[in-house]
Amino acid sequence: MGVDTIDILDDTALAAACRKGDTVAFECLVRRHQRMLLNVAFRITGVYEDACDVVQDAFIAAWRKMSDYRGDAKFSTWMTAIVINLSRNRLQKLQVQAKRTSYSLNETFPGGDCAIIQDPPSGRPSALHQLEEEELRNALNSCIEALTPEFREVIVLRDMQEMSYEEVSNVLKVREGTVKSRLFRARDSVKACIKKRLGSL
Amino acid sequence: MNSHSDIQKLLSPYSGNDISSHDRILVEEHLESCPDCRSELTDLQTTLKLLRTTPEIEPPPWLTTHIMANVREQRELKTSWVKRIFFPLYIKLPIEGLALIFVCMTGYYLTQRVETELQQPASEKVDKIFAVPPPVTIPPPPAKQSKTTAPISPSKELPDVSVPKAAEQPVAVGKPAASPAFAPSPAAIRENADFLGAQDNRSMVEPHRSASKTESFSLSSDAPDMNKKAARGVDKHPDVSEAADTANRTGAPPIAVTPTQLTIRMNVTATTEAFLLIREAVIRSGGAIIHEPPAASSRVTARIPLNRVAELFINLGKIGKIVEQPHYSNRSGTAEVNIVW
Repeated sequence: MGVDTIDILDDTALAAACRKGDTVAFECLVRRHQRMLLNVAFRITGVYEDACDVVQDAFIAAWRKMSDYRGDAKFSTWMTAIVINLSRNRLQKLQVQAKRTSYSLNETFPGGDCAIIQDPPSGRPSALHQLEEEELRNALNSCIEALTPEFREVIVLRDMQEMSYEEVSNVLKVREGTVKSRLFRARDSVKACIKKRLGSL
Repeated sequence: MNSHSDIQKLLSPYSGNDISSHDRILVEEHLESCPDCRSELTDLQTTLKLLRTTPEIEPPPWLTTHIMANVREQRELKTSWVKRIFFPLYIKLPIEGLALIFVCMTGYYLTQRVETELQQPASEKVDKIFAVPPPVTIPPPPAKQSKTTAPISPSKELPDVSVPKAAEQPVAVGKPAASPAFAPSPAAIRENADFLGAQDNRSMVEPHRSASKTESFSLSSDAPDMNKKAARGVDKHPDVSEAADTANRTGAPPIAVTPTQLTIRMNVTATTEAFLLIREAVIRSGGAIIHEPPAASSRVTARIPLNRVAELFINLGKIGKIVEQPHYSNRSGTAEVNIVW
């Protein structure tokens, strides 16, 4: 299959070509979806290198199991489910490693929940105008990382990747009602976390 | 539903525009009169805006290359596995063809062999197990040749095939162990096998060995008289005649076999029912009455495998007290037991 014709094909047609062993078609799928999948993996694992490994492993697994993909769901949804599973595994390994890592009791924490909270500012403009954009983003990332994996997954998929409730439900294998419930609680948690870190929004 | 806490729960779906029109009206009505909820909503919308406008990270330039390198490696592995089996054809096809022919020929040979074995009756299989080598025609010896070696000796354990003295004597009764002439014939072995269901391997191998020895005697050219005597002995004993018949059928040379004679004396209390009880004991011991006594007689003759004589003693001991118990050493063959009470 030619490179020019491949670019105009949809994911289902490319996946069908991949099932016949067409690596050019698969490369096209990789280029299309690797960015989105990398962001999902990065938001869940929190480490860029780990996210790259997860995406790489996910595409290799997809190539092996391409015969299992029958086009019932979107290719991106199928790939996102693979990435979510691999990210969970990677996150568990990281957590186990973190538990085994020794630390000093005298060492002070550079940040996190134990950081000293500044006194609530009064009479000042809102946080969005006070803080630099980067500082706000850092706070947001930290708050997302502080969420439990279940809440983090829904907020990443729905609010950051803007997937539909149905897609999120398919990826996470939970009901739509559960997705909404988790999402609203996750938003409240992130909002409270940012206010706690920055004083206000 | 219109309370402050209820409305607060609806603020998150309201901020994400994931709310029904009915709930939307309720929230908007409440927001007009509640500054706390308005502030809460503003914070939520700000958070949502931050989440949705978070800049995405870019994949490293090497990511696609690495992925595709791995994928191509996987594909090569898969292809080479297929190639190993089927390619190159000009080498694989002849080898596979030869292998196929070999498998077919082996299968055909095995099938033919199994069919041949199935066609043979079970009795022939038993004969096969104890088969005596085919008869060897021995030319008459020269008149004054003192010692002649048999052309084919069935038993390599007997380098000297001259007839032992014991065999030269007429068939002795009651000394089976001393003379190989009393070894059971293959027919007797088959009879034993039928009796025992071939359960005692030892008792089946030993008679075979004895039979070989006996055969070597009959093959010996030094003992033509012995053969004649043995033939005469066959006439005397029905068991032996049966063996000779079997030997004739199978083509084996005639073998002189005489059952061991044993005598058991015993005291019984119930003399009137003694015969019935003894007959039952004999049958239970795997034997049979061969001479039924006349009325009011206290003597019966039975034939029984030698290896079950001990069992007969036990069964007879339940009927009465055994006064005289014979000793015997040969554990193979059959015995004619005279039971006197």
